[in-house]
Amino acid sequence: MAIETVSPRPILSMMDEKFTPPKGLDMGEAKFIDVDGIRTRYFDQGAGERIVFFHGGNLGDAGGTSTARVWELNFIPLSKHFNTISVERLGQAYTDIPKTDDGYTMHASVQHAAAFLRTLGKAPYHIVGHSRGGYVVCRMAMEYPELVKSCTIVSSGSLSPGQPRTHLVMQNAPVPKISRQAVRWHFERYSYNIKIVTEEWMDELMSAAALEKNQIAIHKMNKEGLLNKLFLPGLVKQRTETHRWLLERGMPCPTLVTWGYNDPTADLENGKLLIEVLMKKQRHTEVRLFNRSGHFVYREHPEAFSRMIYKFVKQYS
Amino acid sequence: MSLQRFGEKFIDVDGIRSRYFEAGSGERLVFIHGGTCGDSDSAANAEDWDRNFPIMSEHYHCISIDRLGQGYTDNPKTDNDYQMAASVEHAAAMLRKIGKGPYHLVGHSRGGYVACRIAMDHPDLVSSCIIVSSATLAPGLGKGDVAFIGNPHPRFSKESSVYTYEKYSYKTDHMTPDWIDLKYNILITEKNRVAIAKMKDQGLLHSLFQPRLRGDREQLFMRLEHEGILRPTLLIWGFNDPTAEVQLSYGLYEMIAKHQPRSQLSILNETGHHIFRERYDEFNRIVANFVEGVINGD
Repeated sequence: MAIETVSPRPILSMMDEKFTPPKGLDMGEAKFIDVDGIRTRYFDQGAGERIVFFHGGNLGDAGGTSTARVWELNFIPLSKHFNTISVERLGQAYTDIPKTDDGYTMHASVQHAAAFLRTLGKAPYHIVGHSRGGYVVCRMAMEYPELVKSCTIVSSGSLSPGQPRTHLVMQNAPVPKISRQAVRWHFERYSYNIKIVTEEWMDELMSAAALEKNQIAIHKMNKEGLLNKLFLPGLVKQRTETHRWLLERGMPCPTLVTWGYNDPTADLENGKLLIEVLMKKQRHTEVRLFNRSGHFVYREHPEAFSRMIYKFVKQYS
Repeated sequence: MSLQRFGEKFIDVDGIRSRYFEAGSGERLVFIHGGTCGDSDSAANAEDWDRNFPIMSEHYHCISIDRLGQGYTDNPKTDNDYQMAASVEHAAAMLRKIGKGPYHLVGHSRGGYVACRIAMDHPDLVSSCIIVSSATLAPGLGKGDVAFIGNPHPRFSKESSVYTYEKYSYKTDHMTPDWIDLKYNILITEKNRVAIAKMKDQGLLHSLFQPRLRGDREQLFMRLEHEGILRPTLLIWGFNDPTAEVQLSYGLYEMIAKHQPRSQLSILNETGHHIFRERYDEFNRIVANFVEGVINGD
């Protein structure tokens, strides 16, 4: 198989002097598309079966910014074989924030993601979602099966039954939250090997966090309290509903659940409960755990992750 | 579909005439079946991999062996060799004699124990280790004894084998009549009757095999806990295995992940004990995926 990756490297401990993190890859020119009035940024490379990546996090999160470039280490190697697409979710990074307050929910983020896929007009897609993005891809497959060919859920505490622990791990972050120091602090806590939190990645996150529209979203979520009033209660309610759907009728497509074994935030114990729920009805459900990895398994083990996606998508194309 | 079209080979391994199949070229992949010498209601053998060997041999140099006293490999020469340690040493000696190492080992059930043990004791023979549904290896208890209780059929009958494999399975369509026939032919061989007499009637199963395995497992756990397995390791488990339950895979993975950075756990849905038969497409993909990753150094 011809996944072109960087040269083989030993998996070393974070203390090892010899460990050098993989260098960032250029995902090419960003594109913008109008999705029901929301200017949406995405990247689009290669040809063939469509694989769409959805990053994690939520809008208006000061310390935990996400951008479409988080997938660079997988997006580029896989674009040699497929049409890879990486999109920025509603209100996050360079995609417009919602026009009204009721857009500050996961529900709105899911609807925006689905509308993006429809507007792009290349259905059906293989969708890959990380963390909160894992919730998005699962929910989207359930609501709009016609858009989806396969679904990969990566380290998604948001989708799992059970209590989350991210807020415990992220307790007492340095202030101010929108500072390089604070963002680095967050991403190091997510990781098994903190050396993967490169300056390059920090630059990308800081420039997105600094956008004025993101300052507005942060204000809305935190100072105006939309996070606790609207976003979190809505997520809990819809997650319960999603579990019921999964138990009653199951995912409509082949589903891969993958997790970093040492994820400090998305608890694997909750992940095991999610696996049970997903296994109930969908025959083509499978699990892959990777050792020595925190929350960003596709950045900590990019070659192994890309290879897994390549093989999985090939089988279900 | 049997593996006979690839031609069976026999090799002398320290006086034990041992059967194997071999085909293809490239990285060496060795399939190691499960079961125990002297089983009377099942007969694991090299041809259990007939949905994997032919396909994988298009990309790899595949070898599938009959373990000591199983399939068409000779019985142990002494009573004392009716134990897992002898089966491990025989398999290692056989691979050394075949002389194409290092190998990627794929071991199922008791064969998973064999694969792990060879990787620990003979690392020079091993490139990577793939362990499939092995309650023998995992800490905790397998449920085989419970699943097979009450087999109403007489020993050496096709019916008793069918009963056993039905209990192992999530769906039984992998149990083709040809496959059961192959097992039946092994069950009724003279050497197999001898092995069954040794293990069951003479009682070696309870006086020797099981107590020794218990001790060997404790020692193996100690080593996994302290030194770890020295080769990349993949565990593959069936979510619905009634005998080696999926919980066992989490415990085994925890132990292996402690020292082996390149370890993965893969779980497949809607399959019982024989994942490589029930879900062979997925199984073949996952094994190839892992082996490629090992070669590339992912």
